[in-house]
Amino acid sequence: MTGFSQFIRMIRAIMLRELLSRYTGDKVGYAWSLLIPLMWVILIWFFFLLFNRPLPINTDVGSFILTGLVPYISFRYTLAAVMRSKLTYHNLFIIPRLNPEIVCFAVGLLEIGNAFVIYSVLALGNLVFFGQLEIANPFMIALGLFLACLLGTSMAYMIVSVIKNVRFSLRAMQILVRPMFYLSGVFFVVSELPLAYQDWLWYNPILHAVEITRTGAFGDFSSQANNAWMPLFFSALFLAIGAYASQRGGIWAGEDSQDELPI
Amino acid sequence: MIGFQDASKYYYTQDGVRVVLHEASLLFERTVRLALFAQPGSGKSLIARMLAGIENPSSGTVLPAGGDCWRLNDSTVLQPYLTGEQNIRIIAELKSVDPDKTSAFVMDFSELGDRYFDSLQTYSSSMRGRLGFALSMALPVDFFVADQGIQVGIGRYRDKCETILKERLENAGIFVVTSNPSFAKITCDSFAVLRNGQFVPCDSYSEAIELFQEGEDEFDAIRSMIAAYGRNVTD
Repeated sequence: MTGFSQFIRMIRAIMLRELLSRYTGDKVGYAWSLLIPLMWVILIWFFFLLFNRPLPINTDVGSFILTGLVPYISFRYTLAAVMRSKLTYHNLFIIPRLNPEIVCFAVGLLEIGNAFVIYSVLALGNLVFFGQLEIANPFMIALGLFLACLLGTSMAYMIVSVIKNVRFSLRAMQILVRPMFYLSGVFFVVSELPLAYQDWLWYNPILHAVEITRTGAFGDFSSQANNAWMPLFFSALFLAIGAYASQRGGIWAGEDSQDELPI
Repeated sequence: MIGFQDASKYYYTQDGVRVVLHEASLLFERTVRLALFAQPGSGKSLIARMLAGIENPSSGTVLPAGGDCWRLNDSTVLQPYLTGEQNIRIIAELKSVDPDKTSAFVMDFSELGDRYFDSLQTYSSSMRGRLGFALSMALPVDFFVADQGIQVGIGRYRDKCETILKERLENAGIFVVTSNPSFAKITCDSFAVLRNGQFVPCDSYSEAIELFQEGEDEFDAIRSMIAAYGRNVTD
């Protein structure tokens, strides 16, 4: 068997293991991955109505929230899934050629597919129930979602490689990521902000992924923060730091006692 | 050669740093059938995991078993939300072996019947043990790492496991780290004892037992002292 076909078998097996294990235990199953973003859309919609928030783009509320929320939530889902894989695959690294990089790649790939499904189903729901569908450039929408998942994968890889203690890394992730919800353009577009804030937020790569998705959805929308190189640069940086730390065994390698972890 | 070369392993608890190994060395061939006797709580699992290549030493070198190494009876590789069958097929895919043949062997050998198709969450610990052991026997393995027990089940099933393990060990090595020496007596032919973070190689089973029991006596004495101190504090 060639190395490549073995690699494909591993990727397929990891994706299947993730799919089968993630949404079991209740009757809702995979629908959870759609219901949670849907709940968020409804909640943010409610706040938009409550505060009478005018939309910065000439579109409907559903499409505006969808294009901001789904890239962000895809980033979060991917980040959590890749970080969780450190726990659930660690003992399997006894298998020759199976390593954290392959697991991260497979889980990230699955999450990209997941992001496309979530976006498509919610956009279709918006069309069916409200007669609204915004797709100016499907390639750009796909690119935005892909970049969001790539950022999630690379950031998670960096965190679990640098911080070997899983509990600590999960807490660190929460501290790092929570403010991103408010800073990534889920509720606003960059041009609405004062110039000084725009300059600062330009360095947030998730914002670029969100704005690229919006550019793909709304034909007349343009943003100065939709540069694909920005998330790509950050992803490459995270991956490089992760690979370096992984090679060196991590900073807190001594604390990585898997015996204490719930398997 | 595989094993430990000036390897140290420490881990952190609320009471401070615990020493498992301190600049300890033990090198051996992959064909060896070696038992390491270690007191309860001395870090047996960490030693087994280091040799299996899934745990790093704090310092020094561990030459992991690598290749077709597998942890005997290991059910920690199984995902609890999946069925027995799904778990086995996925591991077979990851190991690049035939999932149909592997699954058929495991189903037959484990004697789980229809429960093989149930979620692992519904399994008792002995059922998981059976599944883990059957998987160990189904995979192509040339070196086993056993943490604590190498026996599974009771009565006829236990005999069946011992027979197949003996057969497999004709072409495979094993490293058993255990606090129950009787486990290793019939399976291993080389012995060592873990004392004060060091490996002490022994020439025979009886020598290893003697040394291990000395350690046990010291362990009991320390335990009694702690208990007595606790009583005095309470009084």
